[in-house]
Amino acid sequence: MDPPFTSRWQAYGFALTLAFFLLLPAGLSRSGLVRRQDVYQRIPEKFGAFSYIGHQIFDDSSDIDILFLGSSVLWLGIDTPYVQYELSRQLGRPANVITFGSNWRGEELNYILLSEVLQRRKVRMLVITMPLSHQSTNLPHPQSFRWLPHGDNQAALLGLPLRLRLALYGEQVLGAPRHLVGIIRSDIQEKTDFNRMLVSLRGAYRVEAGYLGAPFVMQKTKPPELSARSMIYSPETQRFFNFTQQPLSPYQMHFLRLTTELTRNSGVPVAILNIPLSRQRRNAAVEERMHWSEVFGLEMPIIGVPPATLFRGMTDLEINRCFSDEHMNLNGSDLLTRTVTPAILTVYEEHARRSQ
Amino acid sequence: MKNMHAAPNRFDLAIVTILCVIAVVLLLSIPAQSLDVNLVYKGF
Repeated sequence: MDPPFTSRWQAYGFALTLAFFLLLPAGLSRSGLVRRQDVYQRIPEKFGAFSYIGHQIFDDSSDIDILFLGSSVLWLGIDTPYVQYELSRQLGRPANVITFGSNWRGEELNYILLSEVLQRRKVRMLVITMPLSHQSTNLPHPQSFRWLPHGDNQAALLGLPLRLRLALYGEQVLGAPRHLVGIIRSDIQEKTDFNRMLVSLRGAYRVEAGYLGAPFVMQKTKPPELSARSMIYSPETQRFFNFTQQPLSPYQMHFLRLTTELTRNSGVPVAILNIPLSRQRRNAAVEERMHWSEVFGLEMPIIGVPPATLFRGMTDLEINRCFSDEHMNLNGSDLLTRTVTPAILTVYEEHARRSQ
Repeated sequence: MKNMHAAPNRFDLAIVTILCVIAVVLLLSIPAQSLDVNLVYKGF
């Protein structure tokens, strides 16, 4: 077998090239040339509403009344303009309600987006979703190489086990050449129709797609008449909530702890919103993994409606029309949002009253 | 310079090997989806 290198030049050339790419994340970080706002604008839209999120974090300084923050389940499940309309009516002034949504769940992503927006804007209430039962990954978000260059938010990574810090550095090595190219030539995306849609829908993603590839059929369903209180977890309503007790992974726990500490230190009230999946359509109770307030020692009302109640009286075909897959489509988003908004506004009002 | 044209010695190869090991460890530590250039979101 031929030797891999015939000269020391070749061996050192290969070693230097490898070392360059391995150290590039740290080098870019020290150079300060990677602008955080540009990082978001470079991420393709198929991975999330990052161009919209970047503008909201860096280019807008107005107060946010309610920030919905979560993965695709929330991104597709909430009709943000409707919540804003109802909150404006309740407050007697124009309210500001926006959604930060992206594909794949990542506790580190949610934490970083929240910490960046709170550094620049006042948020009066945060509404989040929590990891679902099957979301127990102990690895970074699969797109973190796009939005987490080395040096940004490094403090949040302290305390993670070595294996996870290696994984994050691996992601940063993967993403560094892309960030380097972004410095050399501008590659900020032009405003697309998708971006304009996100702006008009306050960050929400309203999907007009039928269930598992079926044609989309618009369906208007009258929301069930429920009192706001019946959708908020309490000793009186606990029979409508089921905690599966599935533990969080160390990675999830690390960043959820940081998120709850951040909201506590910033004085931002938090509500947890449960959004049903297609597979849960007949569940008689709202399914959450844990009683989150007890886990994190922070009051976080859980808002949810049992799927069997939300879809009461509907056939399987009619329920199918509310989903595109496990995610809600426009029909489902309309039905859910119009059902749970009174509960969201009740929690908002209680927090507002307490902070006066 | 003359020396650089000589075949690499064990020390040179050790440096290359260590760097390769670091690169492979980092590569193996990240989620497989991060390496999929044709990645399409299929839910969660």
